[in-house]
Amino acid sequence: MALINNKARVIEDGWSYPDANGDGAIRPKYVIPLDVLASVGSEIRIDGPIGVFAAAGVTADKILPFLDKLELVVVEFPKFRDGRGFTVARALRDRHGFKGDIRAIGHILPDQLAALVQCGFSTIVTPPEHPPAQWQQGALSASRLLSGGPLLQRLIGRRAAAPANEEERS
Amino acid sequence: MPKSIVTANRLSDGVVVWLGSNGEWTDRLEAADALDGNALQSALETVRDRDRDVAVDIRDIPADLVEGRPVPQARRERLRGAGPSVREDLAKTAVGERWARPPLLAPPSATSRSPYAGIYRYDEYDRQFLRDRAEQFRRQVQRRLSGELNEDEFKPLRLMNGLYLQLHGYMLRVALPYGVLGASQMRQLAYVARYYDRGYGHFTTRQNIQFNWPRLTDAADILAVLAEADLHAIQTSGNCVRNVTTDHFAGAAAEEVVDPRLYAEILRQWSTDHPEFTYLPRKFKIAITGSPQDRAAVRVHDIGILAKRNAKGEPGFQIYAGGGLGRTPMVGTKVRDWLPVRNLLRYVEAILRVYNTLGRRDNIYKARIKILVRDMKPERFIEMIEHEFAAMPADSCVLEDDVVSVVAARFVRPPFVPLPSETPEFERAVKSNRAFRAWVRTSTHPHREPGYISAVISLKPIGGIPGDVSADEMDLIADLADHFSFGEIRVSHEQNLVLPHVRKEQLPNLWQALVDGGLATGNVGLVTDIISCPGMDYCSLATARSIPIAQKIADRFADPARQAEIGPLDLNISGCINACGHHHVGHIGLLGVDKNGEEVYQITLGGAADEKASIGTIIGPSVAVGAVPDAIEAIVDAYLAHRTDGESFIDTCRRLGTAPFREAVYGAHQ
Repeated sequence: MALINNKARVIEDGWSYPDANGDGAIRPKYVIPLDVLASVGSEIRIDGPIGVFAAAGVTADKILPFLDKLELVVVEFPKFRDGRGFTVARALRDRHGFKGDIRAIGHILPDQLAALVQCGFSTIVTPPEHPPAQWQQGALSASRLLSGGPLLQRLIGRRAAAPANEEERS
Repeated sequence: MPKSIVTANRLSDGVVVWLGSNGEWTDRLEAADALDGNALQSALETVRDRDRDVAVDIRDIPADLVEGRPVPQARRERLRGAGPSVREDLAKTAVGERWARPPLLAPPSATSRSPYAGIYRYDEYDRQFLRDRAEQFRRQVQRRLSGELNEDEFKPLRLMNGLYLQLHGYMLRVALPYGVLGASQMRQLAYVARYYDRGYGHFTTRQNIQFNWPRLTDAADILAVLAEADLHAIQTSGNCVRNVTTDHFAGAAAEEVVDPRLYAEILRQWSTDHPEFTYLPRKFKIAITGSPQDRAAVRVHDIGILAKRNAKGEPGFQIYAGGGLGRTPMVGTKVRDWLPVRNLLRYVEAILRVYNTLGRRDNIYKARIKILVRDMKPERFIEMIEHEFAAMPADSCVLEDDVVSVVAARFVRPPFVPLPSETPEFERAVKSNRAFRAWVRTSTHPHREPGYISAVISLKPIGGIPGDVSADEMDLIADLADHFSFGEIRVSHEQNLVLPHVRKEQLPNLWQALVDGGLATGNVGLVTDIISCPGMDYCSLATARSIPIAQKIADRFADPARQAEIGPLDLNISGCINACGHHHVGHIGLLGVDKNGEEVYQITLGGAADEKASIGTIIGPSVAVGAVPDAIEAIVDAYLAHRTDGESFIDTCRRLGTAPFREAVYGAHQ
């Protein structure tokens, strides 16, 4: 499964993810399931970047105690119709000022790229049935739709304000 | 041995098809192959795999063989075979002849504008946004047809663009934001009806219009045509914020305190393509009114907004949440007594954030916000919204005065002329012409400008289909709007149209033109002004045919004098529990259900959608379809017998409860 950034460009993924059983030793550049992280506690010390896996239904406030230690939050979409992940990203960016990488994983569609980016997602693990090429097509129309939009959106904006959103990860 | 036939809708044009004996799809029911056992299973497996990008909703249905021809057992399936029972004329057109052939005439938007209509004006960015959306949908359709997107993935995308798959094919629901449109937009709708559909459209209780026969392959073209008239179908379906509705006399009514259209437009723009709230647990409906008379049913919406003024005369809002109809009807809870304008979007966003996070996603029947409010208890729900609201960054989504004024400046103010409030010619016409007088009594509303009045065009002629309008009628109404109402038209949630700004002196001329066009039915607000969903004649969810029952009741009460004698009475009919016909809030509500293959109707009494919103009470066992008009008549007669001087139907209901009406309907049988 390829990783893309907010411009739908393929980028290298140095992280490993929990397997189907959700287990794996805690180590640097491993995305730790939130419940595992919670059992260790916010005093966790790891020599290297830490990421967390927020399974579907996890709310932003549950991630909060660990936020200043995290480099990456991976938000799961069990079905693309399940929009809870958008609110998680929005809360982390807007309300809690998280500047790290927010990554979408699971069943998501290229058609959702613009919404994901506006909510503060900076990277996306593309599902096998929708490879990066499809997302690049979507990125074209997304950029067109984002540049204009109804008057009010041009006046007050609504993109999640965070450096991660402006800059492009590589 | 019972047999089955295999049916589907063709992906490209939505046409109902059956599997023929040659293993190919046919649009002729009589050519369907009756199968059973292994042959049936193997045929299903074959086509489900082979035709997954050719046919949609492939399934087997039980059928009997009558004189060698397959006849589906289910009424719904027979209707799919025959077409809507209320439009038998349509069945005469062969499938291949349903749609106009290119080259089509240029759309009216090329030449027709309504410069004086008090509608929100788009700029080129707004327009380009709609064109881009149409092109985006064109690519999505292509990806579906090529198989890149499967039906499960494509369905929410088409629904975001208002395209459903219904009983007879696709249905396109076009948004008419807060029910306001210009004459030129009405002409564009007529054009779509004429060239991409089958010559008519249906106005809905969400102040939208539905076309019943578009092809998937034409859908992007239709959206592109609509975009040229500043119209779209964005978010008319799907689990997102739907068309914001308001009072159909907004900005015109004499008693109005705040014109809600400005805030409805702001909410529309805010919710359009909202990145966070486009995949909610379920659909989300917002209504706003600025009048003390609630004509927008705000208390039965997911969010209901009452625009008011404080002691200083500043506008602000009272907010209700968690109201709704459907399976679990509820009157909303007041969650905020006063909200300054600057916080409107922030507060609505807080409500939606709580809902998006906590609303149930495991059961679509329990996914609306009303269930969340009920289960959490209103106090806790309010606490959570306020917490979310307080935690928002101070600068996020603030409606500053300058932003509001920029949006407000986009509304054209129709060039009203100063007129005397005395209108002797009008008074003379009222006195001298009885038919005109009767029409004026039901079909007009006082205007805030002296010498003007708002006129309602009933779309409920006796024998007609509630809310249906032909393309020719749309064109006529557009012309009348240009001539009499600055080119401005409204859609009411009661499925009627309104010319909001008519000079009183010209009202007799307007009325005469409506009489000539067959559009002067003077029954607005009376027993025959029935709200009805499309029912099983069109809808794949319906369990009963609501239109024919509406027609039978209207027929029974057709005499105008009798209707006038009865006075104001809201009769609402839904063809299934989803309550699109708003039966819960009808003074008399009818819910059609299927009972062992027979249509029966449950009767509720005492519902209301206005400022005294209430959910009707079921008065007794369901009534057989044939007995419904008698039952309604018995209820009405009981009212006439029990009412005090000048007491309206709903007030009598409230005073007496259901007992006398129950006795009137069931007395003889109990």
